[in-house]
Amino acid sequence: MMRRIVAPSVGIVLAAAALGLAVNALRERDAIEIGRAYFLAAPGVPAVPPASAPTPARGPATQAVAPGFWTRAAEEFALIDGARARQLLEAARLDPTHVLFLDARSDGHYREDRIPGALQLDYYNLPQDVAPALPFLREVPWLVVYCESAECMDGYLLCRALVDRYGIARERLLLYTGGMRDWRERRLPVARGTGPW
Amino acid sequence: MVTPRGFRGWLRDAALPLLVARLVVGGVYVWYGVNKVREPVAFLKALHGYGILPVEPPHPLNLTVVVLPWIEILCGALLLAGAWLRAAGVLLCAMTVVFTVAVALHASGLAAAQGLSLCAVRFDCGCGIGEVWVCPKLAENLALIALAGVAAGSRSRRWTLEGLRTAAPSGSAGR
Repeated sequence: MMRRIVAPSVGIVLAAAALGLAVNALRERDAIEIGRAYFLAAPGVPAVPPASAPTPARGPATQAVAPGFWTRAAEEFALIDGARARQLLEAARLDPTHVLFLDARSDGHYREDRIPGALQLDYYNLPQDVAPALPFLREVPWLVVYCESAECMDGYLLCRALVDRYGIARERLLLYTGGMRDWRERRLPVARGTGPW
Repeated sequence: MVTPRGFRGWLRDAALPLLVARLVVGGVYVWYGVNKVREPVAFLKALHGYGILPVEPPHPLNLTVVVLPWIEILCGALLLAGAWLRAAGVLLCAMTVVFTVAVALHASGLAAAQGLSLCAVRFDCGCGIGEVWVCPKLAENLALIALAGVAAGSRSRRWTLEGLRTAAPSGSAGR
C-alpha cells in the first residue's frame, strides 16, 4: 500500500506542484498571483452562475453575480446604462482627455470587440495592464468601466482595485452595468483588433 | 455464462478492461488538464463559483488553480503510459469523487434557487470544457470513477510500461 500507492501519489502531487508553479511563473499573461485575493467578500458573494445562461461566444468570459449584487454595487459606485455610456462615448470622441473607457475583459474578448477608444485593463492582469495607463487614469476626470455583461463581476472588481490599490477617486468611476453584451444589443459602434480605436 | 464473480475477476485480471480504462480516463484527464492550464483565469472563476475554498486567505484557491490541472495531466499521462497505475488510478478516482460531489451540490443549489429540475441546470463546472448540462456531466463522472477504479485495481500489466519493466524472459508479465 505505502510503496505502491501513497509514495507515488505524493511524488505525483509534488511534481505537479513544481510544474504548475514553474509554468505559472513563466506566463506572460494570466499568471495567477498566489497571494492575491481576486474576489471580495462583498457585495454579491457567493457568485452563482445563472442556470441556462446564454453560452458566451468563446469560453466563460462572465463571472456570474449573486442576487442583489448591483443594488449593493450601486452603494459604492455610480452605475450607468447603455444610453448614458453612448453619450459618454460621444464626449470621449470630442475630448479624449475628458472621458476614458476601461475594458476589464481578457485579451481575446478585447481584440474581438470593444467600445471604441477603450483601454484594456484586464482585472486578472491588472498590475501589468495598469502600469502604463496610470498617468491617464490619474488625469482623466471620468472613467467608464465595463466588462462582458450584467452577469460579470469583473468590472466591479476592477473599480474596487482602482480605488483600493491605485488611489483612484471613487467619484470618478462610472460602472456600465450592461457591459459589452448590452452595447452590442444596442448596435452601437465597436472597435476590433489591437489599439483602442 | 459470466457470473458476477467471474465478471469482477475478468475486470481485475484481463488486459482489455485495463487498456480501455487507461485510454479513456488518461485521455480525458490530460485533455481537461491541458484546457485548464491554457485558461487559468476561467478555471479560477469557475472554482470560486463553487464557494468551497475561501476568498481570504486566497492561497488555497490560487494554489489549487495552479497545481490541480497538473495533477490531472500527470495522472492522465501515467495512465496512458501504463506506469504507476495504482497511484494514478487512486488519485484520479478520489479526485473525481470529490468533483462529482461538488458538482452535484452546486447544481442542486442552483436548481433550488431558480426553481429548476436538476437536469435543467447548465453551468461552467470548471472541468476545462466550458458550460455543461449537469445530468450528463454526473453520468460521465460516475463512468470515470468506475474506470479509474478498474485502472487502480487491475492486476494485469499487459501493454503497460510496468509490464515491460517487470516482464520475465518467458513473457509471463500480465495476461
